[in-house]
Amino acid sequence: QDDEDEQVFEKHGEDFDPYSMFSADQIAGRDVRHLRIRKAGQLDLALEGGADSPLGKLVVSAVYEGGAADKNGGIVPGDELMAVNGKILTDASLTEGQNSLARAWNSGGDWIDVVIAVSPPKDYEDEVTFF
Amino acid sequence: MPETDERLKPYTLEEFSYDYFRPPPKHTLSRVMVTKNRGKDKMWSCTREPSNCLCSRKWSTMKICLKKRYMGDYPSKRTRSVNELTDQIFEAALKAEPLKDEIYCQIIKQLTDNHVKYSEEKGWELLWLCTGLFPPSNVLLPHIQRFLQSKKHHPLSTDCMQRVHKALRNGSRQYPPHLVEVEAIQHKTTQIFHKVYFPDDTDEAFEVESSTKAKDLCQNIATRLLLKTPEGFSLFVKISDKVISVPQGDFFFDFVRHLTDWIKKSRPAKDGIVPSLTYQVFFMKKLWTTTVPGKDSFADSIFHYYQELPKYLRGYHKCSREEVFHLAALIYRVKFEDDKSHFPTIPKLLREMVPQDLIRLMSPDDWKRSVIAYFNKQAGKSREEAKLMFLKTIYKWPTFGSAFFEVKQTTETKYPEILLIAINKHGVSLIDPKTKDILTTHPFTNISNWSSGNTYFHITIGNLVKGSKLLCETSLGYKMDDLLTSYISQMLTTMNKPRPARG
Repeated sequence: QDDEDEQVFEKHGEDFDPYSMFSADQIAGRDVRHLRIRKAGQLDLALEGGADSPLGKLVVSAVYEGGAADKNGGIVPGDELMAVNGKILTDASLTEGQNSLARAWNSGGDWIDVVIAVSPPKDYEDEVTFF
Repeated sequence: MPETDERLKPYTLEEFSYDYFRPPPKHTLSRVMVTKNRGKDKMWSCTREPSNCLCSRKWSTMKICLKKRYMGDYPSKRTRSVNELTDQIFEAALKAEPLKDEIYCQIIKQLTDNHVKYSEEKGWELLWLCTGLFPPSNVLLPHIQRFLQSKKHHPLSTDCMQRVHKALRNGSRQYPPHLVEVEAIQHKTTQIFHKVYFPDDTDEAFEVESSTKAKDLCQNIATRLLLKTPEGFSLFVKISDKVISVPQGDFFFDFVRHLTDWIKKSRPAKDGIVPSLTYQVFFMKKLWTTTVPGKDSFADSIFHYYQELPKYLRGYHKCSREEVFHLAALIYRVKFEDDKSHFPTIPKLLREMVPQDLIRLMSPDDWKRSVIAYFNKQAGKSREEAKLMFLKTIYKWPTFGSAFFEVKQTTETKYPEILLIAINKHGVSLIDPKTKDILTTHPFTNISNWSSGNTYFHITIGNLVKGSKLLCETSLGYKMDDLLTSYISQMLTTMNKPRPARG
């Protein structure tokens, strides 16, 4: 099947309109994307924050090397996780978000659908500090 | 009273076993006595068959077999990583107090009447490793002492005894032996030397023992380098892309193991092969609370100058044009002393002499002229004097001795989106990265709470009635968190110290 060899993420499906799912405040001018992640091996995606945390939202904290999220290539630390398989997560706590991801991953089907708000490229020096 | 080997009966745990091991059900004992035809029957000495251990039944036979694999009685088919076996042998005991004595018993048992040289040597390796992790209980201690005494001809016996005493004094380790400890004893060395790197790009090797804590190593380094005090300094482990400071009270090998485990967890093995992680150990000034240039010339020369220089060159401080010329000339002098032959290269060296965002303010030739002029004003000063003068100039600024962090913040509209945060003895300062103006400084006493993750750092200032929050996007939250914790902890320790009597 051609589909399996294709680039595995789509920027916007023709029928994906972030404003139909989220308010302008929630989108906050960011690039909101719909991705399909192929279920192969482990998802290997870690989250932090949550609506009840100082962060106020669910943010990707790590994408482990070699996992399905890493292979997809469309999601990186700093991106906000806004929905999984149609379930909106903007009010979800960390546990709720983790459970939703796990449930989606372990349910039937070859893909999970995620909606993320891409974190803009860093225009500041983040890697280095000196003591 | 000298005792010859002939007169001294090899000490066994026979006596101990009667008191402390559960007596086996009668039928088991008789069955054993029947099958063993080795003269005196001893449940507590080495046999080549997997033993029906009299020790606690909760001790899994799996672990006994592993120990036997280590000792070569049953060599395993698959080659294991060096410390995989020692991990499996010691992990359970480190988590459960009662198993500690049992491990000692098992090892001593294997060393009693073991006539296979290879196996006996391996047993001694295990004993050496074990004495580096935790001491035997008070009840078992005299027996272990007597055993070691009876084997005092063995090269490891004295060292094992010393290690037991150190373990009694310093407490139990939390993790199994580090790869480095296992490799050392397998290569028949009992001293482990570890390279420590310094900010002036030099390094030295220091002995690290199983019982060495970070604060001991810091003291040893300070002593060897002739520093006035180790206060404010810390060990740092640089591993993968992270630089993490070692808590003073941690055992050095435990900390490295803990860190390596944590990083390995976040990097799953590819095809079952876990990547081996190399790391470097640094010693540097971490807390600059009492640092005053001129008070400790070795500390200034090896540490303070080389730590402040790169921060200065990144353009984090607010400084005047005259100060920049003055400092550039001093940096030249530290590099080349009185040698003027490098003047023509100044335009090419500007990145190493002038803050990066100021270079474009003048042409390279104009820079060269000004640096030379200021250099001549400092004629006759030595390299070391130049370092001190450099530090004294920077010491005048409120940002001296800071750790700087560039972050993105979205909570405070009155501050720019990209912010420079400085953490130093004054507290937490928010700085405009373009103008270098200090927008505000929050003393540590005003900081009520903070938290961090992989992608953020969050801080609460003031109290619930009148307070503010700052949420920063950064991947260095763990560093900011640790620094804040350390400064505040140091502050509290100082506050709680009884004042020395005067007069």
